[in-house]
Amino acid sequence: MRRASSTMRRLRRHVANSWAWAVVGAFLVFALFPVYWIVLIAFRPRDDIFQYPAALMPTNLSLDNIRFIWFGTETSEPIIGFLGNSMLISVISSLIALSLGVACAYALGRFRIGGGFLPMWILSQRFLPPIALVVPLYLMYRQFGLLDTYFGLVILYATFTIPIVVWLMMGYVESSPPELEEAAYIDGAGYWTAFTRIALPVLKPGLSVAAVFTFIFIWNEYVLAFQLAGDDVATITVYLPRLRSAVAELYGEIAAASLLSVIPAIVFAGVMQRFLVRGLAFGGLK
Amino acid sequence: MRGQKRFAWLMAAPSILAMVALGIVPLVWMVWTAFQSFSPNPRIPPRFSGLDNLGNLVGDPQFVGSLKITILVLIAALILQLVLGFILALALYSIKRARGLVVSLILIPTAIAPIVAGIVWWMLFNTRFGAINSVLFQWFGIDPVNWTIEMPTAYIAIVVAVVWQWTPFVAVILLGGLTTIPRDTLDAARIDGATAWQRLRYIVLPLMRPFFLVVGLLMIIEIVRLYELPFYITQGGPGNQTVVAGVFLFKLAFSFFDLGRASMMSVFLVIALSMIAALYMRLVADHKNKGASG
Repeated sequence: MRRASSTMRRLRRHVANSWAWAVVGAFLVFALFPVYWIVLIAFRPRDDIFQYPAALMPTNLSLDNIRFIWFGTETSEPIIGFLGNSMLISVISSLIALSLGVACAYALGRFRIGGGFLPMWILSQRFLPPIALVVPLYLMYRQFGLLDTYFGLVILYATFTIPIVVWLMMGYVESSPPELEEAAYIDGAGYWTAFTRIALPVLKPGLSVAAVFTFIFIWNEYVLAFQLAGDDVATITVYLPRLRSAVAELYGEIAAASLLSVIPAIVFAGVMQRFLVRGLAFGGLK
Repeated sequence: MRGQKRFAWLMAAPSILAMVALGIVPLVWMVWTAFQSFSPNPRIPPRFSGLDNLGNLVGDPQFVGSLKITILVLIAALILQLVLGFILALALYSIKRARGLVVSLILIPTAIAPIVAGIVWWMLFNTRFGAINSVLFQWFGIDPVNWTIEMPTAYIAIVVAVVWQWTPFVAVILLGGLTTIPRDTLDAARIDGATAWQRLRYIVLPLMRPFFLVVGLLMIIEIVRLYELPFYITQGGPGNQTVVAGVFLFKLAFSFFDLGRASMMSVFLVIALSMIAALYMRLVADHKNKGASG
């Protein structure tokens, strides 16, 4: 009797699992088919791209598209400069946001300054997407001569990502025990020393998570990059729509450029999942 | 004790100053310019024009049209994201093997830049060289559909792209919610004879309520600020019928250089977003007070 029921249970679990795998499989196809298509078109020769109906399987392999965007032409600059700009801006802005944000999170989480209002005000900043502020920022930047400068874009991206860092890091600060720092105070350490020598090393794992989020946000941002910079300081997201011209159908070339531009984001998606499952829903509350 | 507070304020000051300078100052600037009239020539200074911008905006059929299409995208995308996201979350919850790998792969659409998502779906929906028409023709014998240049298919294309980009995020947040439900509760209900449907309806769904609310609000914000996908997939067409609020704002500001009216539109968007954000923050505050784990 007991054996029969355990067999039944195993069978039931098996059925439940195959249902789950069917759903997951269907979603994987939906999520990844567009990525597959980009890869396919990026490596497909021009003559094969402009066929109806489009072949769903790989046809001939060609590196012409990659070569076009990598080396550029008379009318189109090579992609590397834009990738470099994006990398430079994303890394510097992220570093600024992380250093300012972790200090702010430590002040809020450990010393409770500003009561309940300050953390909520910082969280509210997260809900102002770039598009809501792009018009006044454009006017401000025009006034102060900050349009199309690295400085202008970097301070903006750092500021837009500080709330993400603060809210992620506050959770980590609150869950790390204050006793170690208190012991350091007794030994005569100042607040700054206790923060840099004792608190920061404990917060490192949290900082790497926050770094992933700020980097992806900045790397993917288009609205501010296009309106407030875009000529001298052009990021990869500004470069991509530029390839869509009325003169020539650069179909495969656009696919190749898109492919190169998403590699960092896809690498980071793997890092992102570990944290999201643990609960980003409440802004990093633990 | 006083030294401690001073140290804490010094630590927080740079962040606060940055957010005031590039968050609050533009907001105030925007309210000011919303009552001014700008000439397309930047050398001519703007002049105060009272409520003209508001009147022009509300009287513009494109404004009303942009709100209508934004709400239509919002309704369809939100329902699909929450329903599909929850089904996916339940499935992810039941699988034990390779969950980390599967979640990483499923999250790829969310990690991709919106502008690239726009490019990808523009290619897939292309009438002659796209994969979707190819599948429809080869498998079902359906003639090519002009997806992005006709209605309502242009609307469908945008909704599909939004759902593709954000359903993985919704699913993963809801999966996080599912993992907070105590196993004992579910096991006890099963022993008492509750069917799978009853367990879902009377235990799982009530406990998941805060997670649905939070992720729902985040998705509303994402759709209110939608720009890149319609900009690339349909370019607002056919005949301005898919000019969502974000695209309309951009047209006002950077195609017509009517910066006063664009500021008024931004004020409108900020008010809408603030109301959604206020709801979200009340949820977070409640959640924190209850001390539940999220």
